[in-house]
Amino acid sequence: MKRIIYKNENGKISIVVPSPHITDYEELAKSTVPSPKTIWDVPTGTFDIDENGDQFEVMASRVHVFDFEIVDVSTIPEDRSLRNIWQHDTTTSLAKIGVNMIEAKDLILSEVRAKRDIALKVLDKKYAIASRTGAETSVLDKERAKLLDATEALKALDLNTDGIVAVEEVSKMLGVK
Amino acid sequence: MSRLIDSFEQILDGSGDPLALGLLDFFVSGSSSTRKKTYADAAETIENTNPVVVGGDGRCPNVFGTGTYNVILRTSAGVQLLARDPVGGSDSLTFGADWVASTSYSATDQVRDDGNYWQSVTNLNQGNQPSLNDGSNWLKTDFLNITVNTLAIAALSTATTNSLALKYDKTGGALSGQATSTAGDFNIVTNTALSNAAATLTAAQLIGGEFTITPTVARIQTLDTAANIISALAGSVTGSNFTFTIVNLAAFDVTIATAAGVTLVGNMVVNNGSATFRVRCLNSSTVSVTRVESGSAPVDNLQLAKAWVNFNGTGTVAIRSAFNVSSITDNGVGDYRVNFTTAMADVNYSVSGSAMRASSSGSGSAGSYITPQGSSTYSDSFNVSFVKIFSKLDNAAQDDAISVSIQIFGN
Repeated sequence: MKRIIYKNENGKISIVVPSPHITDYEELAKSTVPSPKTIWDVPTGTFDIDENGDQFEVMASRVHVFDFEIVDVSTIPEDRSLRNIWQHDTTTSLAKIGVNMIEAKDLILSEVRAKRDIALKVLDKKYAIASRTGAETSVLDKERAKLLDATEALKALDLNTDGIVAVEEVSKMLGVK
Repeated sequence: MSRLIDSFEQILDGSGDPLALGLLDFFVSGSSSTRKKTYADAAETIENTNPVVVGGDGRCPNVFGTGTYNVILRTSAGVQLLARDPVGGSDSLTFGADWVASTSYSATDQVRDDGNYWQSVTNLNQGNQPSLNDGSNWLKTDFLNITVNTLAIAALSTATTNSLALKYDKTGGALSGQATSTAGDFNIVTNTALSNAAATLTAAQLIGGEFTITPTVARIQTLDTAANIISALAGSVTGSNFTFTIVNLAAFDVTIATAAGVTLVGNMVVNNGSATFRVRCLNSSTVSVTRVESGSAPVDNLQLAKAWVNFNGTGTVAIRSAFNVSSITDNGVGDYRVNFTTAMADVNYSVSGSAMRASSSGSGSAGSYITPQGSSTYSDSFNVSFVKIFSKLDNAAQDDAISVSIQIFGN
């Protein structure tokens, strides 16, 4: 079973998953991979004022060509925890999907922060109850400190490599798996 | 004709010895004085002597005959030994009588065996059980039941080996319709394959009965004129009628259009299915064409899903089953595009769907839902070639669902 992968206009990867009866992947690519598209997202350094009086940077256009590659399904990672930052790794002859380490770190940090915010709200309610009843709060203090430090370990990781690394490897380093 | 005496079996005298040169007298059944001819060949061209003289070994020469006989066996000296009456061929059979292994059947003889009727296709057909035969001696007889009230159906003289023509006559008129077939098949309806284009359905084709078309866009099929239809019916009379059927194999309308002298009654549009129309002669110059559909109304094409898909959005994303969906495009977490095999006719279609969470853990409650999107943004129209969908949790976060089901209705 094959998959068709291409870089979409957002710079991310799109994966065409064929119906079971499809055998001609080249033909399928013709109808599913978008045609070249003009995208206005190239910074020019020139600024202008919009109708609301706000300043904005004038963008130049580029033509995005959706080059595709037909790959075996086994080359697609099953772990989708970093799916939104998958990139097509064209640095090897074998089609491979990887992620940028910096993006991966930021993504996981934001997810940890989101979960921490929920936990802190729960903790706030416990503080409120303790305040009314005069109960000891030292345990809650330790719990809050632990939550606030949750991102420190990730921040400390030296993941500032600006390159594509295999999804599996990054997942393990960031403790996703 | 049939073989009257077994040629291989020896005829013995009272002592058990072969009855050398014995005599067999053949009389009309029930008589011992009126002789009846027998023959040495199955075609009954070589007449035997009467009596027939048995050979020196007691075996009888070829003796064929038609009908039944009274047979008297005598010694060479003329002393009577046996008399048997009747002795006869299969033409003494009752039509469809049970098959008997010892009877020699002739071509066209009809017997019954194993619950079916069989016709002998050979002469001297003996010992070949019909139900076990390979068709070389017997052919199974099938009966055609034709129930008519006022119509008489008879084979025309134009019938040939490989075709059969029927004509039905109506009292007081000369209404006729012919059905022909090839290669031994009998088809009341002759199918005409229409090209993917507007055309005129000729009177001869209409009377033939059935049209098949696979349009890629809406098509109009124009009827022949009433004059031509009536002419083709060779003198149609008021009230006489026939039917024809349109079989549309695609989801584009095929519309029956009128012609001179033709009055259309009812829905003349056929879409992705079939419809039968009755052509009725109103008078000597006009006909009506009425859509005839008994029972419930046909399923409208718009009631049927134009595309659907069920896929797994987790792990190795894969389509489980689909109709008119060539593929899905996985653009990210809970972000998919459903690509149609055959594009929709317009963008005004309807999308429904559901998503089943892979797990109850994580953010959001257990509910999952699907939101469709236009070509690029939520405010766009749908695209005829694909629809973008997102599977989401009830907190609006996009989520990979273990089962995503999408259905598309429309044109």
